[in-house]
Amino acid sequence: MSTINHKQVRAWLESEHTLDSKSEAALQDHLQNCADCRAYAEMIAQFKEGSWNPFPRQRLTQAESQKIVNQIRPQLRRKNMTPKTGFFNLSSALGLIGLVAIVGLFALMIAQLNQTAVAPTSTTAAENYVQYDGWETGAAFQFPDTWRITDFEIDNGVIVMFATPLNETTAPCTPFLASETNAAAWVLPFDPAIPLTPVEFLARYIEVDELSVQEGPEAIMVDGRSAAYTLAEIPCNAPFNQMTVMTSETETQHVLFGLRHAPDAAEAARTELENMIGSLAEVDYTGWQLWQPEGFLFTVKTPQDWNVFDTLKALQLTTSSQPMWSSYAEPNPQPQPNPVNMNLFHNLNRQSGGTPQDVVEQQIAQMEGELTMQQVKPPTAHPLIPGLVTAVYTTEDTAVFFGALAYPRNTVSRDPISAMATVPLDQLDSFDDIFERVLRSLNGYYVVDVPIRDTIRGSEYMPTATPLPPTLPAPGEDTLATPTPIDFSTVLTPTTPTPFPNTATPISFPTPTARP
Amino acid sequence: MTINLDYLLERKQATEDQIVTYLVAHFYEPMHHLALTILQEPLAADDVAQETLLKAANRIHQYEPHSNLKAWVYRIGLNEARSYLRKQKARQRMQRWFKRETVVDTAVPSPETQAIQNERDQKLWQAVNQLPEKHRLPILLRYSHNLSAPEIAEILQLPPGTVRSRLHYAHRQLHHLLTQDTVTL
Repeated sequence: MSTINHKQVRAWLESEHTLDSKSEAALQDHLQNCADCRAYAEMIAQFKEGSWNPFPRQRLTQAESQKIVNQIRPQLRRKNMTPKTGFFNLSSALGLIGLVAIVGLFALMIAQLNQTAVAPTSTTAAENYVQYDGWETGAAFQFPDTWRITDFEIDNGVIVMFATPLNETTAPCTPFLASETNAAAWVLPFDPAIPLTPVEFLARYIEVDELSVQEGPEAIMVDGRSAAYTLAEIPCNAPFNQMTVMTSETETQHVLFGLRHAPDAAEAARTELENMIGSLAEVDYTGWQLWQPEGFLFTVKTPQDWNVFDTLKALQLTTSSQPMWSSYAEPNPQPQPNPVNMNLFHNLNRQSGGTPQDVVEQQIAQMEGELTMQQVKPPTAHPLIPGLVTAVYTTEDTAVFFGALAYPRNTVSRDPISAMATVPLDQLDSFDDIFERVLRSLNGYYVVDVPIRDTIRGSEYMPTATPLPPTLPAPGEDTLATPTPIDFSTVLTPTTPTPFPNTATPISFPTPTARP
Repeated sequence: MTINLDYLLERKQATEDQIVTYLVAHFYEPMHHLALTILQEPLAADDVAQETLLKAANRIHQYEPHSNLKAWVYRIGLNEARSYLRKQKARQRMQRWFKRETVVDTAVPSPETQAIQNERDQKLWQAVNQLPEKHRLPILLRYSHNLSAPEIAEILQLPPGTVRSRLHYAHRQLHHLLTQDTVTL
């Protein structure tokens, strides 16, 4: 009779190790008498056979391998391809100190700030229209002031969803359209391999079973700009079962607009979309740098002279050349005396509330425990961009910015991304726009002609060597002698990072108090 | 000739050609298969495998020699495949508006693929596809890629104990699905 139980048998079956003969005998004995465990064993044996996976492995010939190498090689970024080893791991340090310590460091750094940055351009909207500056999409345009942006969907391009007055008078057309959406703008960078005119682009994307084309697609001109137009019937309840779709382009992108309406509003819809096309303008990202963090999915834009340090849980965006959140910064004095310091926290794990408003209020409450601050702007939702809340406070000599953005990917349920920044008080006004744009950039993805930089991992950071002071020549020495290059590896001894004490204090957030 | 990439990287002697050739020779097939199994789209798998190796080559300076190149490359590959899936979901949402390409039902292999599977294998495959990602991935890595629990743990950045526990739970779920015959074909 078997002396082992089912649990033990299954553990043995799942084990990666070979059993000793005694255990193997006990296993076989048990299997003989237990049909359920036998089925379990057969399932695992079937897994090990491998034929359950219907997708075969692709075996490459030498020529195919070489072809892939040849395809990859031209795409390589020419940079240092040798590894670094043995550096201080900032990410693990940050894991220990946590948000509480970061807030404390923020408070400490508030006295030493100074920065400059690039301010983007803006355009005034026509009457009854709102100007969207295109920061997320790369294409700026105007849209009717009765519309409201409800969402950004990041794809190869970006889709901007709109609620229109139709939202208030008729039922949503789900599942064909998202529940809050009755209009959309889709901005997609040109594909050099498939050059398409606006009408070709439109024709390609309206071949949908659910759409029944009523007019077009036809090539048209709008304010001297190439465009295309079509009218289609969509699977929504009559009478709001039509959609006008128009495409045009900027210098680098296709732009497609769609608007749901009733048949008697077709002409008005076309006029609205023509006005939008007429206002199209390419966004100039000059002076901005795109970064690709390691720890999460979204690119972030910063002014070009900033650095972005990455701990996989948070990003530090700063004009400093080294991260400012650890004692590691101390041995090497900041090359810039008053750097801008902005932190993005993208892994909050419900530490700061579920909505951007909650997050910002929590941040402020927490900081108020550390500093005496004056309110300049209370937590305020952005008038155009959904899910973006910002607030501004000041201390005696510093402006403190708080912000949060609803998690950019709406297909997953994640906490908002929060941000805090400190700048000298004299930059209060100019930094407001930069702070918002950095946060908003998380809703963007594609920027044509802007090279992407990888964020700097804490483990990769190496302090910049401080230049040695000049030395006077010895008496009699030829003052014009050729200087010998300094081998810094022999002059500078490696800095030993101070280990963080393993005494992280659990984070305790105060309960938010209701604001009048 | 086989080179020891770790050795060359450690001494900063690896050339760009050596790095790319090594990565393609050792990891293109597993990355392609991993992507194919997760995405179930051959063309997408080609792209993801290539993008994985490109990223690995570009970021080789972030790899610590003699740590675990295999786990490091697998982690990049898995992230690439996940990223593709997320984009695919966004595309599918857009397709409600304007069709861009044929929607691929990622749960069902093509008829040609199905034909080479027997019914028993199909049932197991379908059952695996019913698992949530946190249980499906360890199973795929364990049995399609012959990786051990510690290796899977390194790729998924989880403790080995968690991986073992997920594997055990996945086995139990699969056993339940197969014996209850609830798998729909």
